[in-house]
Amino acid sequence: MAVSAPVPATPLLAVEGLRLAATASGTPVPLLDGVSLTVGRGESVAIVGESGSGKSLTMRAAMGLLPDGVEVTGGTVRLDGTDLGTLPPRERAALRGHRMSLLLQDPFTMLHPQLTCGRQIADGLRPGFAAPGGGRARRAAVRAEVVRRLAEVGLDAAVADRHPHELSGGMRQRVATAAALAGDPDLLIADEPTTALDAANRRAVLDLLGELRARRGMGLVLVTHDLRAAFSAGDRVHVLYAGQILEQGPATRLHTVPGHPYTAALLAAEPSLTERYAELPALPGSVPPPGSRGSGCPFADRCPHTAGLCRTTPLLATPVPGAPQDPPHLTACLRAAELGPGLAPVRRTVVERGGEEEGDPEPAPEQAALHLRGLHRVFRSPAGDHTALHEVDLTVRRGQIVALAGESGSGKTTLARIAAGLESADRGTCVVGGVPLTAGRRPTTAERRRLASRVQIVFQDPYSSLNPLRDVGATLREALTATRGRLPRAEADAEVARLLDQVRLPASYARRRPAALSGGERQRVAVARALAARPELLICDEAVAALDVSVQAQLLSLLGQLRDSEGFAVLFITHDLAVVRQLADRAVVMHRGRVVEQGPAARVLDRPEHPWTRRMLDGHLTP
Amino acid sequence: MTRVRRSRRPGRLLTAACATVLALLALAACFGTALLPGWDRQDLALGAAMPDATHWLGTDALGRDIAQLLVAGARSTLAGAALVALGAMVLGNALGLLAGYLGGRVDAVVHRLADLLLALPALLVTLVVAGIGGGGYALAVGVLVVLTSPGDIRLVRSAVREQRHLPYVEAAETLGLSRATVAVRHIWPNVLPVVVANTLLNFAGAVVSLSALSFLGLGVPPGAPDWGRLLADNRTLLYDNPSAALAPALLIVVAAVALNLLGDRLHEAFTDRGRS
Amino acid sequence: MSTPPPPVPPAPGVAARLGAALPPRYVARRLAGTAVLLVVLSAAVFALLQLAPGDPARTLLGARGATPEALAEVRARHHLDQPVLVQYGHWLGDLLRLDLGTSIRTGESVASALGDRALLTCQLVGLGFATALLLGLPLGVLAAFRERRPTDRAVQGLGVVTLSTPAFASGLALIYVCALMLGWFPAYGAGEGGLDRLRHLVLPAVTLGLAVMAVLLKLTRAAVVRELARDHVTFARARGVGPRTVLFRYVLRGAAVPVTAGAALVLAYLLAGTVMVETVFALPGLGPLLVDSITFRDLPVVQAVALAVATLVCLANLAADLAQPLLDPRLRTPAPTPKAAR
Repeated sequence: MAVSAPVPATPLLAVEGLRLAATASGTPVPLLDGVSLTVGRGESVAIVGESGSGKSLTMRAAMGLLPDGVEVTGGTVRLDGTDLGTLPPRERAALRGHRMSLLLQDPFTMLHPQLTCGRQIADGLRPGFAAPGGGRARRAAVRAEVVRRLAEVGLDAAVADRHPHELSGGMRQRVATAAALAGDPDLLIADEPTTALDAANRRAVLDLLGELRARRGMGLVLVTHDLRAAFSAGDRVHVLYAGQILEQGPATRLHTVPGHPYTAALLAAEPSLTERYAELPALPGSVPPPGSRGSGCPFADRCPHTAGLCRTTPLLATPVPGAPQDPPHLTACLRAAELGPGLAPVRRTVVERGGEEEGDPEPAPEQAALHLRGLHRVFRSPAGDHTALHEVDLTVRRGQIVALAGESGSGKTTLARIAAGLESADRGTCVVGGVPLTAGRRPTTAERRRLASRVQIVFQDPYSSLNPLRDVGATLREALTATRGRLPRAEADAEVARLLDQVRLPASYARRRPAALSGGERQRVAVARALAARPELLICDEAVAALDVSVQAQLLSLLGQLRDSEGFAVLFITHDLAVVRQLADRAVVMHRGRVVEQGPAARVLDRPEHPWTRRMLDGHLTP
Repeated sequence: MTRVRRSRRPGRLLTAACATVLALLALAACFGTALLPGWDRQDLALGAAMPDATHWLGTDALGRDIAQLLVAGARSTLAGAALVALGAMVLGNALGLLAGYLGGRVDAVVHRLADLLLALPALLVTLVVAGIGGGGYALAVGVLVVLTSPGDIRLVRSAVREQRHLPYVEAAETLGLSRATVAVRHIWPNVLPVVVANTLLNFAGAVVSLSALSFLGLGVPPGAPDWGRLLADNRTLLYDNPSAALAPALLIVVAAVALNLLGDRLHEAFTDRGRS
Repeated sequence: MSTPPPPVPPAPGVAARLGAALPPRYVARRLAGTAVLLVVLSAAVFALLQLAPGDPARTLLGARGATPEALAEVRARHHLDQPVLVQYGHWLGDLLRLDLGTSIRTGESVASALGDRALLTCQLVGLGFATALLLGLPLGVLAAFRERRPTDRAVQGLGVVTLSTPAFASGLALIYVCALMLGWFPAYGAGEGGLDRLRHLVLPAVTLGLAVMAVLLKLTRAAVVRELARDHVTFARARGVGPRTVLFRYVLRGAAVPVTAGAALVLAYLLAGTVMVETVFALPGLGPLLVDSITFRDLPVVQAVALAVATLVCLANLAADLAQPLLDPRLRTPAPTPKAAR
């Protein structure tokens, strides 16, 4: 694959000092504060940033497709030297597809459900491409071209007549890629192209994009929140934070010698597939929301190296001392020279915590936190039966952290929902903390009441895990009342404060509504609500998957600490094997409703026995 | 996603105007007949006359003052419509919650029923049933309640079904709360704003429907000050005193417009909140 | 680009596409559903006789002298001495032979009383529906594209006013302005012959169209707004699909599904509006016949009109149901992975 090409005199895309503001409320709220970047022909540039960094908006602005209510307030976007801001809308629209194109995140919503895939690819072809002459000949030429485009992304010709809903997520993303490239653009912007995909597809889509870029010699911008994707697919990486670029440079350099404390902290917060750390150094706090950002470094409040000047001096990109300057490695950190090697990735202590050993005797069913034998579940629908769980055996000991890993559709969520009493098994044994659940029906209210002190669950989506109308205090008080009976107000308030303290939130949060909390804070409240029931087993269903890296590290550390102090067991459901390595004592791998492998986490990850486990490990992106 | 919200002032003014109109109408409905004791005084010698200083909107064929009749008629026009909207809200919410939460067979039956009722032309069914049944106004209101409720049933049912699998609802279930508690305490409050908006729209629809029934000669008896009835009785007077027919028509429109606008506004405010 | 030309399979033919788009099993299920619905509604219409207060025989006899002989004769003819279910069976049998009975009021056969008037009503409904479509669809699309801008507010305002105006009120206003003040169109009556009929139907059709337009406008606007916010529209724009193609192939195609699904609602407004419009404009259609027959308790006529309306409702729903899989391929073939399995 091509090594990063030298940036020519006029880069393909040059964004300079771009400023964006939300103008909805009357007074403009700055969203993007002077972002500059360039992309050369044949070059792959990654923009990495947590949610709220403005990474997607930057690229929407470049495309001229900003959502209503967001306006460009400064700076220029040039394509091959032409200032796009000065072009009339019609001419600008004519560039889309043929000069620059955009690939969106979600393959399930990006394609029109009512049009065939072939039609959607054909719609983007250059108008003058087909041979003159009408009707039949033209249609045949278009069809041949569509088939060629499908082959280019590795799809069969038959896909042309399929509708998107008949294809898998990975195939849809390929169709979308072919459609985005139908107009043969010089520049492709891919906005989180892998986020909605399974690990195995992730790598395949990134490889495909890299291949297409090399073959077509086009520029590629990869917008992502995933450090691993950014470092594995980008020649150069820009780190965006709260609307400003904090660091930019070659991917390999940024990864090994970061020039900004933020980059260093992000790298440190990323769990590793091969090593388990005594602790993931988490960043405190979260990204400051638009409108509350001062004039200085936006990262100052969370930075361990903040000095007085950091909060007042406007950012300026300067070369990282001692770095080779072609391509340049720039940092916006004032103290970069001073900190120097202090910025190298925070050294993390590797631990060899085995947790459980192979061959430990099985506890009796009623002694285990969770005991499943022969659990079977089939979902029936007119489309055909789907076996979500196939004779699953699983034991979670008291106080143990068991990771359940698998791709979407592997049945791991169904298992979690049965264990939590939210779903029923068709047959098999399910004993949760000594409470047996009857197969064939959902538990009754009385059974669920008994179950509440045995098992609690934390879900994936932080935005819907709390009732939007209730403040945090009311949510926690309800959990207390439901599981421990009515408490006097003062006692309940004290208990709420204690719960909040357990998840490291100030007691004043009791009066906040969910809308006033960040994603990580909401997940903490969800954990506190679960803890209110004092469960023996806490099920986390992809509980950190929707969070930013820095926040994910906070929550993983918190869960580990709580398990140690409270002694509950954890069933942690995840698709991310690095998280398994970091957190779990025992690992269970599921594939198509069956448990294909289980054992001590270290053994499963180091010496996988089942081909599917190996496939998942291979699909894992490494920088 | 952020959205344009251009200057909100005209919108606020309009909302305030709608609220004022409704307040005035409510006043008229409550105290109209008490304030104007002589509202139904007849002057057969005068007959239908054009507006003048004493009769601002002229008189009808019986020489009754149109303006006074309109104020006095607010109650009969609006009370029935309010009853329809509130009745439909109660019925629709109860059935919708039940169907959405219980699921299974109950849901299938309620869902089918709602679909069937929604497909029927409410006004015609009311016309036929109330007319043949001979129950008059009360039966008409009852039939309209049943035929208006499917909108609410669908709304609440789909909201419950949508939210039933949201994490915060399932979390409440794993805490051991009964399903009924969860439905009433967690799910329903989150649909309530839409329900209220929809009730305002139903109110507007009922004003129009009931006045149409009066116009077609069903519901209120002839000579009653109901606006639809006035319009029907006076439409032959277009040459003698056009305002005798046009003024009640205008009032019906104004009342319905105010209710519709307020309902739409509320709906929009709610979806905005859901967006951010 | 050096990909070797892959073999190009032929595009599927029209017949194959139609077969795939309308699976016979789906059609059969919908037809069966419609049949059940028709039976239910016909039972409801039959039950009107039981609903009327007093002895059904007297109701059917009407104002004629209720001599014991006459009553007995009516009872025998309508099988009133037999169980209700048997009565219904006989009634349904007559119906299937297109024997709708005789009008109590005029004594003529119901079928002939309906026949004269049905044509006029159909003409009015057709013209009114066309007016509503021509106004409602484009305005709805326009408002959606200008969401929350002054144009949208103005269009929505117009929609609210027409939705809030009963058809009889707008009809009266139109008569007053266009017929009495300006004298452009005749105020009352149905006219004779093609052109004269059309001239007489202009005002009624506009009145009806306005009443129904509001519903279509609301449906269309909401559907298009939803469609415009979808990723696939952004994606189409981002890859350079022309604005015309985006509008017609991407936006409107998606919006067509909910709009056709709302057809039943539109029909309800259309039918209710027709009754009022015909009354206001003194058109001798089915509307005034229904109102008069209700007033005079002319039950066979009321039942016949109600049945006609019920049939129309069923057919419109069937049409809307059949249109859904044609418009939305997701409804044709079951998805490969069921949604329940997460």
